[in-house]
Amino acid sequence: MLQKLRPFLTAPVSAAPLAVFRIIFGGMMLASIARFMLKGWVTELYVLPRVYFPFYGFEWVKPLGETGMYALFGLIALSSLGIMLGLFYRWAAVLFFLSFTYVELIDKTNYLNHYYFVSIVALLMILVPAHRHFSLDVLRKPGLWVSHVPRWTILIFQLQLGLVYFYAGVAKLNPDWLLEAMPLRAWLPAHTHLPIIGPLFDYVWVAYLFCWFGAFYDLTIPFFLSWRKSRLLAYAKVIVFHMLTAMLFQIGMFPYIMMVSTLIFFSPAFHERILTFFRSIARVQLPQNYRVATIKSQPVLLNLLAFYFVLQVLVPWRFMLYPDKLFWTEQGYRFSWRVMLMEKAGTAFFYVRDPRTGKESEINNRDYLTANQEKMVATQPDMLVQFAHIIRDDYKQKGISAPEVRAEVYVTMNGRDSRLFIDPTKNLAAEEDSFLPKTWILPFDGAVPPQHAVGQK
Amino acid sequence: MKKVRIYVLAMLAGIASLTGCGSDNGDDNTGSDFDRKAMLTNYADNLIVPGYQRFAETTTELKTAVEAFAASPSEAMLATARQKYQQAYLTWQELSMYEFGPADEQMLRSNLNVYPTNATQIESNVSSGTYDLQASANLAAKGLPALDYLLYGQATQAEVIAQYTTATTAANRKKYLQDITNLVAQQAQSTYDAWTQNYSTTFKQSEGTAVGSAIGNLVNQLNSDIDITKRYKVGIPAGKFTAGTARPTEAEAYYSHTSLELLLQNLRAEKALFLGMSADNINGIGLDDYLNHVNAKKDAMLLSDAIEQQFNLAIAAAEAINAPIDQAVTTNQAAVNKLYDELQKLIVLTKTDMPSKLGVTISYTDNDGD
Repeated sequence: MLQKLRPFLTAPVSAAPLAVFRIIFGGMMLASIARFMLKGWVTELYVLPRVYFPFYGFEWVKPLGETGMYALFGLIALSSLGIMLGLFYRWAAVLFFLSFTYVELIDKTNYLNHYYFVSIVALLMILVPAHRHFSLDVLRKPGLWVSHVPRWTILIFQLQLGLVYFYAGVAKLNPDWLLEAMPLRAWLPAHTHLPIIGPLFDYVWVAYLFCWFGAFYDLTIPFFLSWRKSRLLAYAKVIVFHMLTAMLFQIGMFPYIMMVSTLIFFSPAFHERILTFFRSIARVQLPQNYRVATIKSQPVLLNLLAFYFVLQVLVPWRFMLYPDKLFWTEQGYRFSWRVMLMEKAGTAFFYVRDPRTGKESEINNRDYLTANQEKMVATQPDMLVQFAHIIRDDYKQKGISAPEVRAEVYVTMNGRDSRLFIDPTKNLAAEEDSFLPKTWILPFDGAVPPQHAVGQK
Repeated sequence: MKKVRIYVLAMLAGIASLTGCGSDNGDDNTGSDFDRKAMLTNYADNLIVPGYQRFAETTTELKTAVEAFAASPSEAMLATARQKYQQAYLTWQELSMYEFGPADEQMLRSNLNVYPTNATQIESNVSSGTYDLQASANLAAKGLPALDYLLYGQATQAEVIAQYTTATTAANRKKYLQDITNLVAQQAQSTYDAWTQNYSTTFKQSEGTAVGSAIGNLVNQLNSDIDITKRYKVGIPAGKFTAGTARPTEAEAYYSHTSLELLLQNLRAEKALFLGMSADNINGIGLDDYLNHVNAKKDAMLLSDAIEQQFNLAIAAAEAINAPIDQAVTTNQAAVNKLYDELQKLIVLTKTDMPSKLGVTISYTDNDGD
């Protein structure tokens, strides 16, 4: 199939959208990183915590100490600047991808879908000649300049964005979201003080409207953005949708990143107008000749990208390989564009026992964990195991040769009664984390409908 | 253009159908919306402000009694100072759950009630005569637990009085006792003043249930307080964190052996907060009513009833201990364990079920979510 598509994928198109996307992506990343550092989160999230929760298989990724972490963030900032300006672009893109991804792999407590999105877009950025049009690299080496690039170099970003939206929409097609308006009906009343629309959030139909509109929006927006005639209206919807999410939820830069990233769906003429405007400021001339970027490794790249997108399409479905309800077990939950889908909270009491004496001590979680880590541990099984291991290793150092760790965890999900989450007798110290189903997660009783929550009429 | 029109129509139709879908959802709480402002007004006017007023009064009385005792240390003066100290400590137990706004600015929990108190640090401060009570090194050498030590630290009243009369450090000790008392009184007064001057209005006008809102603060700080009750008032002395080895000296008010009264006062106040009940036992609009308004259930009963019942079980379990915690942890472990379990059940209800039904985020950092 790839063979038949090849002429379409490799056909030359204007390089302007790719150059604009490069500037936007680099600029947004620079702003995000600056904001992250100014808020003191580097210290708070990567220096102060006593323990970290690396991803499975990435246990070798460790924080680098205060100086190291600030240097790493400096590197991320510098490489995003490189991407934005198109200066030493390939190096910048590779460095950005590696350093940003490294930070995200340190602690899954801080996992956010939009950080994952940034990582994979950065990976794609490495593969494209985004620096060969309107860039400082072109000023350095005029021979680099091209007017056109193969279509796939732009298409992959549209496809990636489309997948994010579409899967976010698919994830919303579940009974809690569509039939109970959960968790929005629990979250919206927190915003009744907002001007004009605030009072509406006391009404339950508003929660339903938001849920259904959200699902409809996510599922359709990639198509409406792709279709020239609906594009402007669809983009207006993008603005409204993301402005609303920015007001209602604490999701930082993400709405703004999406608002400007989706511009890549616009026509080459639109992007050329943007660049012409910039050129008039910078007083540079657009060369009048026509030159297409040739990419030597294109055949290999196309195959790799096909494989990559097949993975992207399949990964969100991996939860089907696990038993029981996804939201309850969270096995196969991450990396699937499941955004703002659950109100899940838990309380975890950990106990460590010395099998020689049979004596048991309760753990004060906060002796090890930050407040945020404690909150995440209480509802995510893989983190429960990781924390049990942290406790085990600490007590080994304190002289107990084979400490047993168990946890009594109560979890409430989307307004249901809190219930025991895992087998409270299971010795988690002896469990190994893996991709296999965790048999000690207690079954979710799907027969109990969620309780209606929160003060709406 | 035609396609655009079709698209607009499709969108409108979608929204219209959603509206219809939502309105026929006969929710259980039709009728009037919940008056969050009335609830907050009840908390401010009938629980919190009168509470801080009593605390300012009792600590001022304590200050006067301590001054009198320092001026002429006698058994009678000591008895009055002790009595006033107890009243102040009991009043504090009614307020420890309001650690937001002015109380948070004053950091009352850490300035007034860090225990076990550090007797060594106190003695070193007394003998040197120079100390900075604002230094973090002195957190465990001031506040009510330090007063507990200074007023009850010896086996007999005569021995305590001797410390303030015949001992070489008597003058220094009197000064330290007064400095600490004054600081308690001053912080109590500042908190009360801040509430009456403007925070009360800020609190009542705060809307929503987000982090930092009045309701968010009430729920989160109630939970912090119950956590503290369970861990520090009961768990640590009972040896729950030390493989079952009891640590009686780490109990609250260890020297006066009043830990049980303080615990009970604290539990009753936490329950009163939940119910919105004033000190005169007038049950106003509280978190329980808010839970009822959203028709929150736990198993077959109302969640508010389940929580109230669990408070009662915890209070009954505490009453059944019938001895200071520092003694009960060795003489009546079964009763202490029973209390501990009831508190654990309470925490699950108040920290997991209640916030999630009220849409209150138990969120601690201002980090982004997704």
